[in-house]
Amino acid sequence: MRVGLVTALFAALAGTLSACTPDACLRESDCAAGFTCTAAACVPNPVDAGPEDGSALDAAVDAGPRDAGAMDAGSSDAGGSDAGDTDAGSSDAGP
Amino acid sequence: MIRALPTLAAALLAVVATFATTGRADAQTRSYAASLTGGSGLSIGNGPQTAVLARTPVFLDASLRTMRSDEPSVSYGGSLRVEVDGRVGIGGVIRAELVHPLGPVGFRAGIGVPFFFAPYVLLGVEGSLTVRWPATTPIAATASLLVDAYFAGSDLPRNSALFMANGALGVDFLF
Repeated sequence: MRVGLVTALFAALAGTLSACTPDACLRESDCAAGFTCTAAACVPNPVDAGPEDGSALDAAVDAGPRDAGAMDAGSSDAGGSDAGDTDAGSSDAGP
Repeated sequence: MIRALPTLAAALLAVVATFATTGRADAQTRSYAASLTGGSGLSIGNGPQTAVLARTPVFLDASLRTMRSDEPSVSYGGSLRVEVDGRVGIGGVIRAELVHPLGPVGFRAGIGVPFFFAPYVLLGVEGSLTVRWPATTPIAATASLLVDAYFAGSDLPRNSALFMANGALGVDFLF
């Protein structure tokens, strides 16, 4: 009778396992490297945001005022925030 | 949680010291038992709206416990626990049990502190119920029901806890 009880308990546990969500994560170690477990789902680790004043391209232009002329001469999408540098560049790049 | 590791290590050393010192002093009145078990079960954790169920990774336990001849109803011990399913995690359990034979079967009800320390950290509490059959032979089969609640550690997602209901089968050796 005791063997039957133990068998029934394990059968119930096995039956409950059928309700499991196969792709859910409950622990960080359930996810591969580079992923984190959030709300039972593995999501890529958050990537650091770029600088607050714009894209990396704008940051590169803004970071090198000495290079502004050469870069602006070839760039067709200089932002409004680069107007000052653009003007400086134009004066350097013009004939 | 890293700061808790020295405390856990000290607790493990205390258990080992109990075996090393009182074992020699009371060699004629203390008995030991070792067991090897493997198990899995059901894990329940936090989902976006409701609880989420998943299968517990298969784990292996190598346990050692001791009992005094004049107090055979209480045993103390610990386990080395290794997860081997989808990852390799190393941890253990420090456990105290009440032993009660019932005919040919021995029952053990215990409480313990389960933990993992490599490569991730988990800390919780555990309740266990183990059946040993036959009760008094040197070698016997065991079946256990383990209920774990993990509440701290780097392996838990933020603002979550983990509950496990696991079963384990194995072999027990009295010596």
